[in-house]
Amino acid sequence: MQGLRRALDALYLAGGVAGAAAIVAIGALVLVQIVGRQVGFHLPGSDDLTAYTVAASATLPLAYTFRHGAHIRVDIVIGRFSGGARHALELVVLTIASAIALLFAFSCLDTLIDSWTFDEVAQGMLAVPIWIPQIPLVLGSALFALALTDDLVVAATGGEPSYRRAAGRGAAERAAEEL
Amino acid sequence: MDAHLIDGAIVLIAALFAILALGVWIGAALMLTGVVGIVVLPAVFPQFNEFPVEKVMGTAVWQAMASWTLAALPLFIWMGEILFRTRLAEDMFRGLAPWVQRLPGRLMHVNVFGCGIFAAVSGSSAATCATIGKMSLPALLSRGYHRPMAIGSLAGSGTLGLLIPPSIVMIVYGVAAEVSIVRLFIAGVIPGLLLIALFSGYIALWSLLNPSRTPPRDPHTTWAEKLRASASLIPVLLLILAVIGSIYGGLATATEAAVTGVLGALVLSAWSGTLTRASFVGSLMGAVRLSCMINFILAGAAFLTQAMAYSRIPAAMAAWVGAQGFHPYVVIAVLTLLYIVLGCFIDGISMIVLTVSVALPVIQAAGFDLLWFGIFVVLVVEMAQITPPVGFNLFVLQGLTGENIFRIAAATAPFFVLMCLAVALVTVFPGLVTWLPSTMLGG
Repeated sequence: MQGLRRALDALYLAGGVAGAAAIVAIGALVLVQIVGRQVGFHLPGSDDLTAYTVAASATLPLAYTFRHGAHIRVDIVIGRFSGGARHALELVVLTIASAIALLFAFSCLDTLIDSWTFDEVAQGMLAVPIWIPQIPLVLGSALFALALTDDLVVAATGGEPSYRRAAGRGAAERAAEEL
Repeated sequence: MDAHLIDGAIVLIAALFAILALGVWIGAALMLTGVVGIVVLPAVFPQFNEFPVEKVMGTAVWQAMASWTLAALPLFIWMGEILFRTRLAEDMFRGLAPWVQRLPGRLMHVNVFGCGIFAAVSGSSAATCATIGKMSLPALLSRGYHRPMAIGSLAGSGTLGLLIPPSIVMIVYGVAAEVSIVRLFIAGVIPGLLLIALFSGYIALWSLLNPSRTPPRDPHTTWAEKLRASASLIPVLLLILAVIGSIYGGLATATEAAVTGVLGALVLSAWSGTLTRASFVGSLMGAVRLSCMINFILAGAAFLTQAMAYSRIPAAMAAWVGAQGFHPYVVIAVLTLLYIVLGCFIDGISMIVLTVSVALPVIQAAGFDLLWFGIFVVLVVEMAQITPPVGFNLFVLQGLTGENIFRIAAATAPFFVLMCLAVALVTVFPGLVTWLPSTMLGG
């Protein structure tokens, strides 16, 4: 169990690190465009490449962000409960969210399969098959569904879900972390 | 409006609020509401068409996320995260303090001007509030300034982070409503200056009416000393020039200006000796989390928008509102009230994406320019940042002062009223918003 826990945590962190790499890559791509324009050089398809990297930066860290309690929610109702009632409510919320995350991951996979089946190719300069840049979307959403299911199992077996542990540091500290 | 559309709208709104109130993460809550719209509604009311949910969701999310415009969001967030970890706050306090000593209200104006300047390099109101506050608040309180005014002016001024470009909230609105981010950035300047004038004017007026509550001025400084202190403002002014100047000069898009900003912030951080491996990684991972959180909400909203459009409810609502011929002032008054209530419970970004996915056709039908409406929405979202029980600036000030959130909100109330006044002014004189962008960019 310890090994599984460590492996999952490493996987979520990898998603976060991949998201960080994507943000740096966005910056680098845009920088190349700015500098390129000055010296009359144009990297073909760099606009599309930037857009795909944005999609990767948005989806790969979904699980990592969730585990840090950084996804926001309206907690004025749930925050009023404690003990057993709170635990039951968290289970309901986790069940709903896991179901939605699974549907989300399935939809992303379905979109990728459609792009593959219909041989969709990007419109712009860069004529890549569109399913390739859709891979991070599928990976990120699948990882997110995994993280939610993970916490659902943890909560259902009486444990404290990860986002609650992260939230234990208090709203102000979290706000400070998110700045 | 057809009966099934009204019933459908009621079901959707009830579902949305029930799911949100339950405490489901906002992005997931928006997705679930969308599922209700294209799966549950057709099952209950045969008049609604059914759509394959996985096709609609996958396509909507992919199209929303694979967006060149959206690149500005993580970059501006990263820039703010870097600057938050520098000594900018200390420098700004030192540079501004000597100049406001003569104004009635003295150092309290540092809150307003400091936030105004920091807002020009930061896109978030909570970050603006925290950065300026961590330096100015202890300084004000140790000198014996009136505690509620010191806290209130900071919470109010912190919201300038949203209105004065760059602005995360404007990027979110621009991406969701397909309005030019550069135009939004330019349009926010005059309303931002208007708010600064209102806040500072109020502080001065209050101090004149309560002379006994303003502590004496700091020891006199000569012009040379003042100028030397202000030299610490030069780096931040250069950064503002690089970021905003490139946008306004038409040299750069918002995304390109954001890259310039990240580079500038890194240089500034290295120059002031605060750029370490830890602060770099901290800023980058902070940017990953915050931008991912916002993007998840945007992804959920993109799907909800599509689901709403398929249900044809927004179009029917828009036709109804258009046919009633309401006076625009009435519509704005109702919307402002609605936003103030919503703002008590949900955060600004969710408010914006909800508006765009549900109400944009209605707003267009009522005859509002989407650029102007963007600034209006940013203003009311600013107000939402300081309304309890959910208001990010209040959380920040709670962290800084340890005070109860409702006491902080009470101290901020006068500034909330000033923001209502700003909304009224912008509504009556829409040129305050539209004049600068149309003069600078044409159209």
